[in-house]
Amino acid sequence: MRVADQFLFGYDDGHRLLTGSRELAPATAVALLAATDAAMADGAAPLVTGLALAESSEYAFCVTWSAAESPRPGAVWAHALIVAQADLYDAHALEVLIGLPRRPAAGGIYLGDYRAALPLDAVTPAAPRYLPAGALDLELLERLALAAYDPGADTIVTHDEITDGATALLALWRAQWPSLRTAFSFRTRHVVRQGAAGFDLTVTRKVRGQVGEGTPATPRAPAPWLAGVVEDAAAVGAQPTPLRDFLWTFGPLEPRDPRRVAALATLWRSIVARDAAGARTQLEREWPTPQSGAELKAVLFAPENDDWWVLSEPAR
Amino acid sequence: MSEPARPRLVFLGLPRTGKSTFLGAFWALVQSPVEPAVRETRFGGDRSYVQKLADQVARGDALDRTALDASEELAVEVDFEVGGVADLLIPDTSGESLRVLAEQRIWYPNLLDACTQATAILMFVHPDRLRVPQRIAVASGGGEPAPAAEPERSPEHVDFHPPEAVSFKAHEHTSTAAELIDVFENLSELWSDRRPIRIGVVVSAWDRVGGEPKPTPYAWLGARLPGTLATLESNRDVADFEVFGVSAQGGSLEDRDQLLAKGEICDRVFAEDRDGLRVSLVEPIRWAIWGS
Repeated sequence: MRVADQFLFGYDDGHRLLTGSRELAPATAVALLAATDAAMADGAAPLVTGLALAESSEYAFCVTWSAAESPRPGAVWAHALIVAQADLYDAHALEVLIGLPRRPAAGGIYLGDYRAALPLDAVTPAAPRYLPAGALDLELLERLALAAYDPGADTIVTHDEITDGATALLALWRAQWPSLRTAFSFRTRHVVRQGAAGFDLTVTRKVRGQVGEGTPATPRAPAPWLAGVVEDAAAVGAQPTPLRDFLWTFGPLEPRDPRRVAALATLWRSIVARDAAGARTQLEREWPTPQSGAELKAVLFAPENDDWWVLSEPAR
Repeated sequence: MSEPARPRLVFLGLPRTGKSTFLGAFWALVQSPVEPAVRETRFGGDRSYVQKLADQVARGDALDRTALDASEELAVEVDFEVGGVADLLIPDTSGESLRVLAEQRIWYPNLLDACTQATAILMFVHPDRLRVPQRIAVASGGGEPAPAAEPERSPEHVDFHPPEAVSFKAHEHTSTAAELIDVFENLSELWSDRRPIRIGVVVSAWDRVGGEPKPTPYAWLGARLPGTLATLESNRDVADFEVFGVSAQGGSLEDRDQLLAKGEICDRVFAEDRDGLRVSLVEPIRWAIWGS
């Protein structure tokens, strides 16, 4: 039976692990201590963090809340759930995981609630209590997709409404092919410093050290591949798009690098347009060696697939 | 005109030892027209974080704790009355990051980066927040009266294999001195190729230290953290050190009205050198840059 181990962090003479359903290796404990801590004003919107734990083949999903009831200003509560990376391959388990984080009650905390592992199977996914129900901001989702997947983009996105950022981030995460999902680290924060690394995507209200701090960066011109990726991410829960089928088929054969999404989504555009020359050019550019993208090349250009393409007479 | 010094200072201390308060008070003094010891020489850049700290100190508010991932800093060019111009960088390190080093024996990446680049360290201790060494028998609960069936055991006897597991978390019992000595050893190793380093011990909330006569900061360190002082004294080839007592709020936040009645920040904050002589609050930073 699949389970999520849970860990509660809070203020006890400093931000600490208060209790959990199992022991943590020191390096993991330190990684989670950092991932669950953040500068927050009292009453500020909760923050989400997804952290790939490569060494243990696990993944941590965390939510951090301000702890106004704490005597120390700036103290936070955080609930971290750790699952095996393999569990993220299952859409139901993923939805259960996303619904698990819960803040300790302001009136009194019972640590016993956080000492048992939580089941991922045979339970109905709950709506995330840390996110208000609301529409997905498609424009923001597009900016996030560009930041996460475009090879030249800054992976920090500024946006005033941090809960909208969390909603869009989770939509993007859900839409990823499972092996990419297990390696994709993300977070929302109220403030980060320019250049701080370690996450594939950050949504923040402010970036310190950036010219024009606090103002959203000017969106780049939309990349042609973006529309399909955004449409697909927005369709999570509904019927998967053909692009999803393509990404989930060939994405797992790629390195676990979010930037591969842009390459595959661009290639998909050529396939849909039956543009064999365009597809071949891109394959030569982005999969230049015989070994790279071998299955992709075979599927697209094996002799039995000639009828995929509308080839001009000279090309034949 | 000579190039300004480029000091990279690191404030080290466990949670709630006054690091951010000192940084906020320092920044307030830099901006104060009546503080002669230091002034800003180049304007610009992002000061919103340290300005917030300074405002909180000015209002007598308890400062927000510094989150582990905060990555905040003071980056400013200042001119010290004694010393000269310095292009100063001080990251506001979280106390938890030092705790990770002391308890888990893991360098938190941000702290390692800061310490690797540092030209000097100011190590903060709070006089009300010291953990004194305990006998292990007391710490583990073995100090309770021995069972009647085993009267021959001394109160300090602890079973090596007790019948029931004894809950013992080392981090709840490690003395402050042991943690500071451990930190010193880590720093010594980190800087093995550029000794001696400069380490200032800053005893914060110095207004709370009493006694008749009131001890000097050096005497206080010798009395309350003798192991730490002995380590520093016996490793002068590793580190040049000083001791300061600072009151970066100028009094207790518990009586805020009385604190604010003392006046502006520059009127109420104070510092003492190792011999108990009054110096500017900026002196620990000035010493960390240029030494005595």
